[in-house]
Amino acid sequence: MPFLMLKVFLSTVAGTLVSIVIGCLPAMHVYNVATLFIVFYAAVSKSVLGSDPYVMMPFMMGLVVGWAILNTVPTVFLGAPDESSMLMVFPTQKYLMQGRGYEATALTAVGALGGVICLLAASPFLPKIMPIARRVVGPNIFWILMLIIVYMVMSEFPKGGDHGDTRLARLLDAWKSLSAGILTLLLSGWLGFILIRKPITTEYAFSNIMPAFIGLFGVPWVIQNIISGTEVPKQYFPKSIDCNGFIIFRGVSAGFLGGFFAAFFPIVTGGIGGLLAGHATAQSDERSFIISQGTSKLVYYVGAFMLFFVPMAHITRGGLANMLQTMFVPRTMADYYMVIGAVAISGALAFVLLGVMSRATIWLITKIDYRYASIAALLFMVGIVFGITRFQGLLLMTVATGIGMIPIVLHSRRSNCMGVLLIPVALDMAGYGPAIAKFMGLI
Amino acid sequence: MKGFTHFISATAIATCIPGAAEYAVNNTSYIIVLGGVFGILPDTLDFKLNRFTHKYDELYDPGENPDPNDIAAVVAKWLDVAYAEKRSVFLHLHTIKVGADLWREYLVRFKEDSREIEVEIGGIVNTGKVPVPNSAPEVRIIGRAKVSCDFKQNYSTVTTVNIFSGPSFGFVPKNNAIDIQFIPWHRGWSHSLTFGALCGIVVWVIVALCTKNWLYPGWMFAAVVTFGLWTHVLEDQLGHLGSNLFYPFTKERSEGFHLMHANDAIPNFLTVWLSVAAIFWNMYRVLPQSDNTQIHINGLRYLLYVVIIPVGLLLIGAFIAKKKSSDQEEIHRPEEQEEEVAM
Repeated sequence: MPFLMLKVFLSTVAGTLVSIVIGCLPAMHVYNVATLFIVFYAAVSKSVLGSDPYVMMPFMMGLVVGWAILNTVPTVFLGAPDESSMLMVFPTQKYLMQGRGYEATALTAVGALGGVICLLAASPFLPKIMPIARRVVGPNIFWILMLIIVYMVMSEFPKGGDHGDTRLARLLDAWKSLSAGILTLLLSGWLGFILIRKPITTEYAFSNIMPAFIGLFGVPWVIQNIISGTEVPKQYFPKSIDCNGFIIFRGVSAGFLGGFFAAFFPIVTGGIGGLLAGHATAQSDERSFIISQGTSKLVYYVGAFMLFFVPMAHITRGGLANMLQTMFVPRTMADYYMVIGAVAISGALAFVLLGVMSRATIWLITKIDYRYASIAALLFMVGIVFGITRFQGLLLMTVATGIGMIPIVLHSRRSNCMGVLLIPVALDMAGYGPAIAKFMGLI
Repeated sequence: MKGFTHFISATAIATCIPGAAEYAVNNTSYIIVLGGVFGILPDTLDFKLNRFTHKYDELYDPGENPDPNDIAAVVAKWLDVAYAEKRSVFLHLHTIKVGADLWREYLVRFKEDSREIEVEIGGIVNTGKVPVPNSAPEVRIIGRAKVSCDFKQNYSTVTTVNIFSGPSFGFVPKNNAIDIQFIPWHRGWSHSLTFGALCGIVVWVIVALCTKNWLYPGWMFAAVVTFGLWTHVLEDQLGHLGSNLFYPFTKERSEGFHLMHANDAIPNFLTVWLSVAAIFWNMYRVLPQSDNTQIHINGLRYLLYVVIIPVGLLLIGAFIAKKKSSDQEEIHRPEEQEEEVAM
């Protein structure tokens, strides 16, 4: 027994340490790297060494937890916006431009740690609740997804429209950003529809969607940095963070609800879950928002993977669970509590590592020109896409970048790009997919 | 209440309409989504249409270096015009943007007793309304202007102008005085029970024409739409503004119950939580019977574990947090007073 515990502990630590590399690099998604490890594991399990799920599963959990926390580093430090877009960027980027990037990572880390605590607290109840929830919600998912899409469209606030000579001029100005949001959602949905019907690779579902995601969310951001030539101001290291217990409670609780909602529902991501939870709790404080995003992201990725281990629930949410379901079937509560332990160990370790990596990144961006760092990030993204999906992936990424640039240029909500998954899946679930695919000439 | 709260509570009401939740599952219909759509529709119409098409007498821009006397004079002038010309006057005050994410705050005080408008220039805040340290003026910058008539502000006698779009005011002559209406384009026809009923009738006719059946499922769609919109209207009555409930039969907004502000976290979250609990229960209620693995949820336990205990804990938590923050305010107040005296 102590040997088993030691094995689980060391595997978790190893997974967390590997996540330092993938978490701190832009566009490097945990699912891409996990794919490589799964392929390696499958190869080893056929050899004389055999397979050992008590090494692989805690390692994977360490990888996911570590990545969900450490990925804050490129999100905060490699996404400096220019002046014109300051109103529609994340508060973390505003913090960066105020020299408070380290504080933003600290707030996110607090949120992530809160997420770990919430997951641990919820873990004894999940095996009882989740199978019931899955059965009840299952037949209704199609309309719930449509509900989310409709809310995303209807809740977008017009930006502009205040200054205009005539009422029509004001109305048109206001609807510029709103129309851009709807256009982004529809084009993303269209792209998603094509991608699902005509996948560029059938090996792993995530590799199919990855170039589109990098194009929609990652590349436009970096292009903006390169064009605007933004200079990141000097970053400060505060002795304490500017927030109190109530702000932390509000952020963590909203993030947990949003993240768990996203982990439970197919296609809904942590960002959307966080957005909905933020609206549900009437959030307006930026600190609370940053904390909630940290919680939401962690709970989304880790919670989705954790649900996979709930015995008899058969919940496979997220790319990793989908990839692993053919190799491992959780049977007992011991398997479940093993990964809960891994979440606790990895969460604590990654929390400490985030501070170290943030300081290292701040040192790095003060030493090299930010524009060069952005160019390096762009080349890295292109390299990743080409390495996994070749020229087809690059082409797909280029198209997706065009769509992803719309919200940046016309100041609308970037989450509309999530239409790439939401629209095709919601329509498919409602049974309208084949008719639309036929109309589009895809079948 | 916040848009999401209206949206989700109207969705919950839709699942409560007899037959609607079953219809959604059995016919792969988006009928429940319609509830959410019409639950948020009144604010969509106001904030994306009415706000921009409303006709103003003046859109006042204080500029980057605002003069509080000028702002006060403009407000006072239009109050006087409304009184003298016995007509409704509409004024919009722009915000003061001083940076990409920064705004200069100013306060407009309507002093009914002294018939005076007072404007105070404040510090700089970011878009999250968080004050920028040391940005408040070292000495208080206050401007005043006298008004020649009586006026009454029902919503709030102090309006803080800070981020995004500024406030609008309607100055309406009434009983030999001026009634000041805050954001007059909001909560008019779009927030009336009559509009909800009209939407229901229109949707009923459309569904009836599509299904070639005048009764079913038309009535159900109509009920989802009407009750969805009415949910929004009735929830809004809990706040300060109220709404024009029976437009066009009534011409003015009724006053709200003053029980909460739209941005209050606890009532918003409570409503969302209870709505989600109701939606889940209704989904369970209509779970297809043909399934092999039936599940059973005890109604009383559900009420206890999902409604009573979480809501109780939330209310206790909110009470403690509120008490703690008011204690902290008590500690900080003397310092603030000293600073004001020193200025």
